[in-house]
Amino acid sequence: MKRRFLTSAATLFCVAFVSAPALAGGWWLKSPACDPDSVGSGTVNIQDSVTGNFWSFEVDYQVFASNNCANPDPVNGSFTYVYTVTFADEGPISGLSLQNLRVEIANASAVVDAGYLTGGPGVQPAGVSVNITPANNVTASFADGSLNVGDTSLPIYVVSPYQPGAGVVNLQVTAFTGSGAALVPAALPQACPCTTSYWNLRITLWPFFLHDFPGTQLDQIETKAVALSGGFFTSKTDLVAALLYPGLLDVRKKAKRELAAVLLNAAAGELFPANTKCRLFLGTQLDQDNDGTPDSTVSAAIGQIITEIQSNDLFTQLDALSMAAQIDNGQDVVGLVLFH
Amino acid sequence: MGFAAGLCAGALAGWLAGAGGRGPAPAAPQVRVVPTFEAARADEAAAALGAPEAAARAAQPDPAEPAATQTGLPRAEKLVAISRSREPHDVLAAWDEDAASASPGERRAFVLLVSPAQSDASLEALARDVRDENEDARLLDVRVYDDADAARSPRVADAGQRARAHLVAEVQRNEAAGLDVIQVRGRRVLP
Repeated sequence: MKRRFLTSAATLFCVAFVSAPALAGGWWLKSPACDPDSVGSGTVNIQDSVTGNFWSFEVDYQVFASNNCANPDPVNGSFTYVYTVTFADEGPISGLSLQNLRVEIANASAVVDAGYLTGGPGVQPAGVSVNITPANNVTASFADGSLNVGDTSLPIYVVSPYQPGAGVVNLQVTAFTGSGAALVPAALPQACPCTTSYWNLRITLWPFFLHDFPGTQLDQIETKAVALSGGFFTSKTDLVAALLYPGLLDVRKKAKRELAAVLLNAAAGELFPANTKCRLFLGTQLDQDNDGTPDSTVSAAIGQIITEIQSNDLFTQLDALSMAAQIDNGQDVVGLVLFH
Repeated sequence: MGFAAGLCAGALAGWLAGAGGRGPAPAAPQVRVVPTFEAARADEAAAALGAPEAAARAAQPDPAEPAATQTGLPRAEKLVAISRSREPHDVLAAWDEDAASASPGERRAFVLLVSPAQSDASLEALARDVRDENEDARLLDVRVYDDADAARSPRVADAGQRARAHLVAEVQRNEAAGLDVIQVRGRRVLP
């Protein structure tokens, strides 16, 4: 009896010991000090409906905030997404390998960095690139014959300011593709608008702020801000003149000054979403009546502020001034973050 | 069989002995990052603009401003005239960027009044009508209220809570911002 028990226990141990490494791809990446902020895994099946052939893969993912001590590539204001794919089953047809792993993302221009991690076992991709077809995605491509059944890839990483959201990972074997659910860079980045005073100082070249939006970036932001105004500001000169208005009594001009800052914040976010100084997004949600529920967006507020300034009605212009100032100061911005 | 079991049992005992010991904490993995995305290496070292340019900007004269601010929302007849929806409504206010011009401007606003009992379907039809009638506007902001006082009252007094409670429909369009939205009683409707 005792001997049978010992045999069973030893067998169980041996089975568990041998199979453990195959349970999760990229297991060697795990830090003893910190856990990822989000983890998950799922199975992706590629099915040939005509012949009945199929290929099965397990995709593991981890998401790290920039301040997570286990983040392998921390970038302030951005999230690091790590994906590992394991070729689990090749069905009746053998000899084919995985060609592409595509992580579908919301905005291809908002990828700060992408690549793969080394330091443990895994199949190295031939390359990791950002593409806009067939959908916005980060593609890890593998050489033919390199990632076969039983193999696990090296961890593929994507750094993006976009927040984690439900999305899709797409895999390709020859001409066949299959998709599975995963956390991907899907939700708008966190907002951190700058005040009117900041933009005033930056545009007048206050020395301490010259490192923000260097080179032609500031010029691009001004151009974009003018465009977002729908013709309300006729030129960059017009926009800057409104921003630099020094008076206290003219409500219309004060509202225009705050509007100019809102537009500059939105332009900075749309053009340079990974910047951690000033960023708003047209889809950033606002809670204007302070009831804890989002009730508007930055793009809707821009239109409302512009038309209310044009109303020539004192109280309506005061409303426009208040709305714009509260966005610039971050009071109405849902999910506001300060990165510095 | 007995030999194999003994071997595994020995391995188990050895592993347990190792795991049970108070050895040093496991070392962090030696992870190395291999970036392959060239766009991330964009050069940001271009020189900043010079101070004289900013001074020149600040010295730019203010663009011409319209007449002094008054009180009361304007009701431009040129805009009221294009509001021909058959759905019941009143135009409380309507204005654009140039009150002196006889033709509708590029940036228009409407404040409409409806009955509190007006159905969602009627509100949706009204919103679509107003949107279609102003399709040539670059920027459109339409607010439909079911209470005239709430529509006219300043929002600064209560953070706009009263106005929002009576806001039953909205039409917002801004081509440059990619905005084209109709909302009826908080429900987003495809335009």
